[in-house]
Amino acid sequence: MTTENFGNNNWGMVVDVDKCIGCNACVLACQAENNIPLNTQDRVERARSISWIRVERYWEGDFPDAKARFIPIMCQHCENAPCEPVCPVYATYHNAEGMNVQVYNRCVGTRYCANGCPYIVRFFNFWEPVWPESLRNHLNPDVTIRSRGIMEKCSFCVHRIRRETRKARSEGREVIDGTIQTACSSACPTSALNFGNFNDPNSKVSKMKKDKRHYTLLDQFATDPNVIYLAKIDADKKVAAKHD
Amino acid sequence: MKLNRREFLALTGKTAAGAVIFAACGLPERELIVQSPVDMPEDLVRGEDAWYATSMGDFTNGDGVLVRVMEGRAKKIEGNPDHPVNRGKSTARYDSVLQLLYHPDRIQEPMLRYSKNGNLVNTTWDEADNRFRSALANADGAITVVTNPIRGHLGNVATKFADQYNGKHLTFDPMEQGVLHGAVKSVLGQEQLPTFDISHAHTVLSFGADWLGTWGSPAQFGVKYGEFRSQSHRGYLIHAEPRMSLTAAAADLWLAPKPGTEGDLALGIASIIINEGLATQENISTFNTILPDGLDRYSVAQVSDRTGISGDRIEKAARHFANHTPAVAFGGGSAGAHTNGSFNLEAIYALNILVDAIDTSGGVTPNPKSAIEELPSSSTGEPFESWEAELAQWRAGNVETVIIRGTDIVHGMPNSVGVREALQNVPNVIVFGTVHDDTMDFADLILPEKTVLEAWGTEIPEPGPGYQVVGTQQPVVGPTVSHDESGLTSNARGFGDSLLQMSDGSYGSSMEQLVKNGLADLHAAGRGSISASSSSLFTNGALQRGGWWDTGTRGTTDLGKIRSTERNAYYSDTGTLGTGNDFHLVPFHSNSLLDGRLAAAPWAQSTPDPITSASWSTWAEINSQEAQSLGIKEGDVLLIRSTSGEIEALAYPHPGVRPGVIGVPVGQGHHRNGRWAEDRGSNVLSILTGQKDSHTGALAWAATQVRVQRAGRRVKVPKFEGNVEARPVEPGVPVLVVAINETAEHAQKENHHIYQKQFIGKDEQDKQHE
Amino acid sequence: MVSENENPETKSASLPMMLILVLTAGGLGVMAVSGVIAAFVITGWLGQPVPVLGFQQTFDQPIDFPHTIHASTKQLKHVAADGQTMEGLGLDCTFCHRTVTTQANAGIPPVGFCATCHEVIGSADNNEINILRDAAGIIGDDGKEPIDWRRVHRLPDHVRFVHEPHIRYLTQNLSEVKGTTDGVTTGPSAVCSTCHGNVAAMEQVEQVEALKMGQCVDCHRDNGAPTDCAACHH
Repeated sequence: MTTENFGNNNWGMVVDVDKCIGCNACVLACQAENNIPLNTQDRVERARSISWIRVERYWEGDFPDAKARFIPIMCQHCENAPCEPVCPVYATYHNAEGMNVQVYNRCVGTRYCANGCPYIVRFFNFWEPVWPESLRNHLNPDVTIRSRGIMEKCSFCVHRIRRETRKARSEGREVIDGTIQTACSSACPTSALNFGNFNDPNSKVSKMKKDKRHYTLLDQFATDPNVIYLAKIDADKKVAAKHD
Repeated sequence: MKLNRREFLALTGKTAAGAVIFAACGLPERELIVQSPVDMPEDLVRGEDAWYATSMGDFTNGDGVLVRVMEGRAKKIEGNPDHPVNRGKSTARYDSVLQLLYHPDRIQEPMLRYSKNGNLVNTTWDEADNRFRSALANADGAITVVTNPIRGHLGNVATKFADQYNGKHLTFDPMEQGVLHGAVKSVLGQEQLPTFDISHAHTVLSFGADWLGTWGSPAQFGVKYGEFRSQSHRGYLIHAEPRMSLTAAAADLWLAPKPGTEGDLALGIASIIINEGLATQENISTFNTILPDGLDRYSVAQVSDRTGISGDRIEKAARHFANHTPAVAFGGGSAGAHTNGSFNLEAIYALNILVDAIDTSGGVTPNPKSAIEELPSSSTGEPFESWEAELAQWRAGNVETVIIRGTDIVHGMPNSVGVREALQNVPNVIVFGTVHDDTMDFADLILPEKTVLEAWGTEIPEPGPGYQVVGTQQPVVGPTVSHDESGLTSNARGFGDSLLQMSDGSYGSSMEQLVKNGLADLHAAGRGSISASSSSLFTNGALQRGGWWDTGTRGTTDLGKIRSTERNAYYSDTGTLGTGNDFHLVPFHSNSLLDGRLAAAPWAQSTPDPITSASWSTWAEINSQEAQSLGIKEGDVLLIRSTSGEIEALAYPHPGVRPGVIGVPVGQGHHRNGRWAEDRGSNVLSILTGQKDSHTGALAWAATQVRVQRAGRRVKVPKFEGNVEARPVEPGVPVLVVAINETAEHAQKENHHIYQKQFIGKDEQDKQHE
Repeated sequence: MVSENENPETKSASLPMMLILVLTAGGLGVMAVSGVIAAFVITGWLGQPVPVLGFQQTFDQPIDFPHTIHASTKQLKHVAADGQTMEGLGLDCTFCHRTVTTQANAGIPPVGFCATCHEVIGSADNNEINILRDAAGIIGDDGKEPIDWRRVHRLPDHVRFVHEPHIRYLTQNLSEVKGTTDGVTTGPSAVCSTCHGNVAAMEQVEQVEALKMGQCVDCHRDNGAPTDCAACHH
């Protein structure tokens, strides 16, 4: 597989959980950018709503010391993705740019990948997506509309990456760090979501990745994600004495 | 026989069944059309996007946005990186505006009702204009223009139009902030709201205002919050609010006072700071001069008793606030929505004096007046008191014509004021709008309005960034798409343009002209972010960047007094409301619907609420322990009753609510508003009782007491939570939390250690060690 | 109680009845099954991407627009109004499809662009040109209206094709160009024929290449272009 035309990139994301306020701006931005079908009340109630990125909320403690902790979760684009080997038709695979790619036109809808994913970020289209005629005007022409029976998930806004790299190539330059933003990272008001190239040692995400708070989700599964999290800081937490 | 696909198609095409299948599998005709528009050059069909800078006044407090447009259709709305207010960032509301633009139930034609009880019929603009003119003909001195709080040229045109007919321009905001404007004026001596230098503050102390979610300018504050957390000295956030909002969830220390005691809490904090000598003598004496009657009532024990917050938490907040400066204190929202709202907010803003935070880095930053003199730089809903008086006039038949735009007063006003019968006694009710709303049920004439993405305008952001900004709003898409297949037609007209047309151009021919004239005035001033050799180049520059700003301008403050003497909050009575348990009702803006402005958009409906993850419904948040003791479970339909009426809501118990408080989101319960919103959920605004702030006469929307009873039904709450299985980092540790300067690795090891002790058990662990 | 043998006729008569019933039921069953299979085959065949448009197809357009007159560099079969033989105008493809070298779509010119020439060029009784003039608002009194052209080259929804890099690469590597546009050897017009055939010689544009994925991938492999699925499918 030749990818030299795309350059030596490893796309990834650094999520600073300490800055996440749970406002859901990323969720709506993703919904609008990626032609995600309308999550009607019926679909929400049947636990079949689709959202490529979600903000999970966990409660800690009881009143008056109750704390709500938010964490945004999207496809982790694992280097050792559990979803990839189980696909019988190679509809999902890892490309040379560090992305876990879902090829809609190959997918036959076995849903094995969704069962394999420990992060539960893959969503199945149980219904044909429908929009009233007038709402079709706001559909993004850069993103395929997934039909019924197809698995879908976060693509790292690959169409935005393509657009920006193509622009850079036609202008005969390298991609400038920060010009490629996914819909969610561009919306995030507090800059909790950061997107960039891990192969560029000077990129913002490469620097953030070195923070001492960095960890990956569910690292016991050794999935080696390309989404790095920076732990939430609790100013009142006491560090326990060194344990044995 | 060799059969290729074309021959196969030809064969099957000959049978009727084949024809049906063929038709069913074919591509929709519209996908095979490439439309070539008439005019050049931006109309070129090129498969590439254009990004237009504009402002979205009605929805986002003047944030600057970029709209992605392809082939005449708006596709996406993002923050404008050049704009000084939101600096390229977004909220969970921008994109929903696209769905209002392309709403399938958008009003296409003017509609007319020939008699009060008649049906609405479609009509032409000519006839509508005639009706409009005849409504104006006899209306001199008896006309009221009702809008949402609007600034910029549109606000100016509405006011001038009302003046021309010797009428009134009244603004309506169901969750009014008039108390806040009054408090800022009395303490800081400023007409326009200040902004807060959260980026450089080490401590932020906020009361009642959900500034990360819906209050003030959330995108601006969100960007600043990101910077606040990434300083070398990580900022510390203290937030006081009876229920856990987004801001309370982000806070390091959350205080949950009894509703209405925020002022007590503020002065309690002040008294600790003064008694412990944590502020300079100079600041203390300044503080004492603006306080009318001392701090005798505010010992820790007394304040703790009145607010229901433990003394050590109050002390902790006070010491952190005074010791870790720069610090800033501000408040709004539910803290000001009480009978003593003015006192609460004035006391809160006065705290800034003690830490020397007024007009300093990391403190309160005053905003200057508008750069274009005649444009209002500040707007707020008219106080409820004035509205009651106005509705009495309507009811008495003293008002001939009412023109309503941008606000759904029938949905937004409490039942008790009787807005419906008042509207029925007005001979001419003219409503502008995009989707049929509840007020239009009482309209005699409905005029289809352009959305913010189609109309010209200017926007003065409030609160601004601390210097003068004039945001521009321009049409970014052509005429709206009609719903038949024929293509693009539009019958919508801008509100401003309609008023200008009706006033026969006496103060401008069109909004576009007014905006360009305003920009020409700015050009003549010769300062700010754009320098251009001609006024048309200047105009283009402003439209390209989404506005004009001058970072050299500053606001001024003029220290005033805490004027309000009414210190105790009074609540509505529940004595006669039948069986049930008494709760204090705290309504709050829905994160995605706001006060219901965006309820018609399915994206806004389906975006989960951050705290409960609920969507598509009205829920009621109550304390989980209290719910347990009352036998209330999630999904129980609750009857919430006040002296003003009763609504239903689905119970959602969680630990982030003060016991005795019930939180209900505003925004649902429309009778109309398009296919996705009609008759969905309940309207909590309708059961507010008419309590008013004693000083400003503003509606005390958080002063209602309710009696809550189970209806005996239980339904599934439409929520995202539980749709996917939660996978904790470690059992019992959903989100990894570290102490300051602790590494994630260390925290993980420690969690693992705790986990082993708790879950595997000591015996097992001992065996492992052997 | 009635013995079984008491009425033997009934039994013998019921046998063919049973047979008929069984056969009918079986026949219906077989028909149902074969119906299902047939439906499967038919929908399977028709359900392929691009069931309507594709290879060797062409459409009547709202205006009978001849690419020959505009783009050809040769003598035409076309005869001018005054009976003289015509030579093609030899316009560069990019004269009308302006964005092909810089952007995703080749670009359909706006009606106003056509009208800049056709306001004067073409006789007043040429019906086809009059349709254009009417749309541009030059004649008639129904104002300006857009023209809905029929798309001839259309890729399925799940493919993103961007002209710009393809034109850029091929103009730098003319040896990879297939076919010819009436012998043009320089500029963007020289490379269009690789996928579109010799449009300059078409009275009515037709899709002459199948434009299936195999064709794309072959060319990408030969030229070292990316063959990552996500290069085109997203």
